[in-house]
Amino acid sequence: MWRHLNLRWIVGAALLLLIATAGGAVSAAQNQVKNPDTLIEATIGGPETLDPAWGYDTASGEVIQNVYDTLIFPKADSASEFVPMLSTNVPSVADGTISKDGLTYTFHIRQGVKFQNGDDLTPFTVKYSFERDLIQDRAGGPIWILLDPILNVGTWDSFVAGVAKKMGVADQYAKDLKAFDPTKPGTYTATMKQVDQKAFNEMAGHFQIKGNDFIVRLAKPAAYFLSTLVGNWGSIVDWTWVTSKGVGGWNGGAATWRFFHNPKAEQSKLFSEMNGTGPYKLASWDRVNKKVILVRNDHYWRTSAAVKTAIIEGIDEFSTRFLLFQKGDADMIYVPRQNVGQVDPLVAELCTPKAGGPDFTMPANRDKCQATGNKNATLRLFKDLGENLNQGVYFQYDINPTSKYIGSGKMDGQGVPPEFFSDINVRKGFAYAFQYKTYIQQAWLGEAVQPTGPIPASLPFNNPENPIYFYSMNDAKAEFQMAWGGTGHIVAGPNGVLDSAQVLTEDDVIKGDTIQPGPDGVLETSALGDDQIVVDKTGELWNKGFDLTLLYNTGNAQRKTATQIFQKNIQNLNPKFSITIQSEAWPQYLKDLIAGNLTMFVIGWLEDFHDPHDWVVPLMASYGAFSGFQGKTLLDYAKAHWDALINSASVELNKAKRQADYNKLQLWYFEQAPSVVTVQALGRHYEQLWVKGWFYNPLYPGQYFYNMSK
Amino acid sequence: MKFIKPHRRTHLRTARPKPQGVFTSRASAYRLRQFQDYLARRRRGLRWLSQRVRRSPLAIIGLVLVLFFSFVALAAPWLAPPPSGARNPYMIPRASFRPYPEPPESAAWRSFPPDWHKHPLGLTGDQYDIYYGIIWGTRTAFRVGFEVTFSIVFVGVLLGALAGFFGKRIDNLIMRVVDIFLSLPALIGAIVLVSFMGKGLNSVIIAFIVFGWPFYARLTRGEVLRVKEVDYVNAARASGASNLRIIFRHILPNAISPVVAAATLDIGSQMVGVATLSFLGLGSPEGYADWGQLASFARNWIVGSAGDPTQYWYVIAFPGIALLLFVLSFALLGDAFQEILDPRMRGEGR
Amino acid sequence: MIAFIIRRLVILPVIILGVTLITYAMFSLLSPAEQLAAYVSSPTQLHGGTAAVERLIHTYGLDRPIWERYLNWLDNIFHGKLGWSTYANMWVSQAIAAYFPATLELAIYSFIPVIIVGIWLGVLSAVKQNTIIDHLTRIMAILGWGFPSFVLAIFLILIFFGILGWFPPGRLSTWADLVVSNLTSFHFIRYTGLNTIDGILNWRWDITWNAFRHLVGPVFTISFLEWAILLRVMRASMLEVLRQDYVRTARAKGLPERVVIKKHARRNALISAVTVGGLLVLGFFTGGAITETVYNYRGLGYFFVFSATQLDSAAIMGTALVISGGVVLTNLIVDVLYAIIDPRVRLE
Repeated sequence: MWRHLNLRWIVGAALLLLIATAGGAVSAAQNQVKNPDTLIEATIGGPETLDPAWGYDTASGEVIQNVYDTLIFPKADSASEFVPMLSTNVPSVADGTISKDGLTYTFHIRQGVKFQNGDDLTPFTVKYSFERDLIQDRAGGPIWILLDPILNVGTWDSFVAGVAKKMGVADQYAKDLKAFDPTKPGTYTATMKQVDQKAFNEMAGHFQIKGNDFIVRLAKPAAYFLSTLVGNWGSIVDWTWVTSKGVGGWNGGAATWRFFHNPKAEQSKLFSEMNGTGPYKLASWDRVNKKVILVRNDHYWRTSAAVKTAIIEGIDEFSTRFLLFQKGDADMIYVPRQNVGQVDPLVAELCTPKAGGPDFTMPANRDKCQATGNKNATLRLFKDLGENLNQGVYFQYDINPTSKYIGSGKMDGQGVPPEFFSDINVRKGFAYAFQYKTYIQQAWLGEAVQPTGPIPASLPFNNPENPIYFYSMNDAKAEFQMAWGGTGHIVAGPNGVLDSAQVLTEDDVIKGDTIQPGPDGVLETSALGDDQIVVDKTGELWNKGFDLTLLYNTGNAQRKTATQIFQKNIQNLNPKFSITIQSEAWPQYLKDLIAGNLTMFVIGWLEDFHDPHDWVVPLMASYGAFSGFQGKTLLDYAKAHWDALINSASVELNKAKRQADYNKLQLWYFEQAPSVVTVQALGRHYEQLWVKGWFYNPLYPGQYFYNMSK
Repeated sequence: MKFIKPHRRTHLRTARPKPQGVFTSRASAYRLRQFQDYLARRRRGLRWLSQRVRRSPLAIIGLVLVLFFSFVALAAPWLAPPPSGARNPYMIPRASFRPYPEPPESAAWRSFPPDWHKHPLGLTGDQYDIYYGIIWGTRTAFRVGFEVTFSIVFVGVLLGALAGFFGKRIDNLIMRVVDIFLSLPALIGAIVLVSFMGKGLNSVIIAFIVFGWPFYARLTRGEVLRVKEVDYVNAARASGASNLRIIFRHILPNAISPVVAAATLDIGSQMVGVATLSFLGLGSPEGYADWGQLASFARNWIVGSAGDPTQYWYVIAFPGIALLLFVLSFALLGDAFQEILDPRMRGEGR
Repeated sequence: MIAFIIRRLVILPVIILGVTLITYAMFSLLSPAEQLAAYVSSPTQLHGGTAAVERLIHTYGLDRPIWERYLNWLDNIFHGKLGWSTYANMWVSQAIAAYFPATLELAIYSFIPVIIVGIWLGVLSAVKQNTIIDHLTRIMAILGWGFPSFVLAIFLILIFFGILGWFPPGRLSTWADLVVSNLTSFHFIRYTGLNTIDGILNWRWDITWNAFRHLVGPVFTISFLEWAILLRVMRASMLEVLRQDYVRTARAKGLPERVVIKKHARRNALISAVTVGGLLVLGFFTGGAITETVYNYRGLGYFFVFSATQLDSAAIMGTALVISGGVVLTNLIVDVLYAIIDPRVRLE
């Protein structure tokens, strides 16, 4: 028996020892600066690529912004002003660097700048960088942003096809292109070669080098051109390095670009290597641990960055990020909205913008920060940061008749007809049935604002006076009664003025002539109007009812809540109304979106460049990323009414006229209600107290470590 | 599921002289006797089994737990009445649209059944009611456990019996397919299938069926091979019984006991498998009464808040305990069956 | 014996081919638009509407016939690439090689307690059949067998890290990670990729110790689930052996019980315990996937689960293939080993 005892004793003792020493090894020394030479950011996800012309996600953009420089850069505390960077000037009409017709932009290229491998920055490599952007134009990539102002096309392929058409070989070209296989040079036919070279030369004609100047000639006077240059696609790469043997990238020639066009992520030669002029160099991209390690560029053309190393780590689990943060092992982390309550007791300094609403920039000064008085707190929190991100619920006007989500597919109470949402009263009924304030208060914990239409408040040419929908069960009811064959009219209330509809909610309490919040503590009403919709005849929809499935893509709590609010309120309107909520993983959601199966989709738009053009295009144009998926009825409507106005607004150089155009578009969007624009989120930024110099600029894709010290 | 006494005792009793010749009356009399024998065997088997179960304290605990969960599942509408106007009782109601959990309120326990509107076990992430979710989740647990287990036992036993009985090519074919499927661990295979099929509870159930049956096929085949050559089967064969009859009447009843024991054990673990996928976000939709899904909410709240690491203990504790007890109940029962039905486990004398 | 091994080796590729077939059959359940999700992480990348979708589908060859893509994939496997993983941003084979050391480290440390405790308790339980020790052991085994690994892992994190702060998740603490990534003045050489071993080889015991602390949680979770398997088999075979004639003879000779159990019974019971080797490996992959995910321990299982939730098809299929290869190979080794050590077994 002693042997058993022996074994037991050994195991027991080993365990004890392990536990005891492990416990003893933990000694938290909190207040001194941890890892003073390293800035560590723990966030979610990771870059898809390191190629500036390929990346179209914020994680890639963040790395690229720290390693590459652009011609111009966002001004520290502004989203719509720029400062010189690799160009010594920000082009303007005043000094003649933008021509009067708004077509020609001149950049004076900075001299004496070196790439991280020692090569010189030249106007030639600037020109090469832009040409490389345009010819690479990968499917689903960001290059449309540059193609639109410079060549006035949507894709590089369509530009080349246009050239082929002009040459009269469109058919032959299309045929050859279909048979073309980049791995077999033999399939590159003479016709293709001719067309490709002609197209390339035509494109290259838009860029010009004059001495030390780089001149861009636009195809249309796009007023927003400068704002497109600060994205990662505006980065300047080094021709000598890209074409070197080690990298093997495109040599800049007209004859070879075809083989570097539309690469997959891994086929792009700059996929995992970087050589920019920026403040940090890439040390390693550890794709197993989702970690990008950057080290300071000691030969930076400005003063070198303050901190030697910067690490961006992708940790998907919030709990793990929070633990690192608590131990001081991360300097800043991403905190999802629902988890802020866990972190807040650790906040020692709270920085909020000026009272009375969101701030869309956060200057570098610390005047606005106040001590919270929390004990043992070690963090600083910036609140109410206006993100250029709108959440909305987009209706599908022509649901695929084979969709599983429309029940019987008929107006018989057991489903909805595919054209359900092409009825404007249905869309408005949904818009009125949404509890905007409850949604902001509860799902967003109060940190969001209701947008005034497709263009958020943080953008130029936003119209703050644009009407918005508000929660009103009466209006929702009237709209649903008028839908599908009902009729009605609006009458003014006792004051004889038509202003807005009367609002009565289930929760709010009317006392005298003011409305006070009900038991849920949230005031739903936005205006106390006294207009009334008088319904003369209820439509088929109201009489028969409907059954509909709303879908959101899994993993987004706020989007789920939005659909649940619709469900709760609309089912309360009429016992014959039935809404089912269903979640789908992104792949299935994407498939259903593309196939038109979704009855509506809940989605957010994050701007690519800071101009209303980047908002009206995705939300309103017939080729938009969102409106393009809302059904043929809306597509036709947009083609007939909106596309021309969107285009003319984008090339309007007169600010007042431009404003008028955008006001018109915003009001039009309200009247048609193709979507319910729910919130513009206000962000938060948490950091350790020892981090210095951080400020908010909504144009940064992530952290710009050059500003920070420790 | 019928519980049959183990093969050892049975075939001793049924080994009788092979009836030869074509005397139909004798043949039918033989069949009648055989059927009576079979009934008696079943009766005695059940009595014997229940005796053994009664003698094992662990099995009793398991049985009590199973009965308890059955009660909860049946009484769900009484224990946690769905909110008025709810069209699907399996969707857990949200107390509000806020995202964070809230602790249990003891006031809810002043009445019985407790009023879930006062959240007796607290609210998990997105303010879903934990008590409601656990009560209705019991039904999901039973449904999932039984659906998966019955299906895989059915398919597995059928194919295993065919392979074992017919042998040769059929055996070879079936067993190679079994080999292929067994080389993917069921959970891994299920994850692959579900991620390609699209998430959802039904996909997960299908996936576990697809990757679960080979185990039973192999088990049944082994038993069938052993039973197939014993005397009374030869006797039945000689008396001209059809293959199907031999398989279902004579072979399977005597080969099934290890399958029954394994299946009882499996009900709980299949449920855990499905819950695991829900935990990973591949199973039931958010807000569906499913314990794995309730537990998955815990991932974001596990660390509590600064200075109070156990602030959200209830988010994992209650769903975790429910999962554990459910699995335990069937495991105890199944383990006892295995102990009783598997002669190797019985031991002698000591 | 050799004929047996050869026959098993011949069957091996057949099984692997079968696995590729069923994996690809499952993959083909995805429509081209669904496969697109791996390349389009957000609808904001769909500028241009349906035209953009068509261009993307064509670029990634999602519209090609399924058999052609299957052959392509097989070709890819033969060239050792297994396709491009959009989750890991590298070739799947590269990713598997990169994630493998972490899993190997976990496996090594998990099997030690499994084997020691599993065998010890199994023998003890059989020797003391139907006593309180036996009952307790069986309850432990049932618990281990049935405890949902994710619940156990979360409980352990809650207690041993949330409250006590002893065993953190992940593979290394940040400071240790900086050392291993060569971001400090210390020149750290990656010999094996196993942190505990590399720490010793670089004479950095603090790294080894740190790695150990991160291993405790996952190792305990996995081994708690695994030793139940071994324990059950050990107990059963021990019970059987104890009934054999030679044990009775040994007892009758008047040998002390301790010697009877150690010299005669346990050794023979151990032989049949070898047969569960395959089961253990199977259980390790299953339990490991969940455990690694919950502990944020970046190994193969973590990679598999995350690529599954993000529908990285190539990674899902590639990892599944490698896992099944591992299982098949283990089974082969176990069979051969069993044949060698147990003279009673006749290989047909």
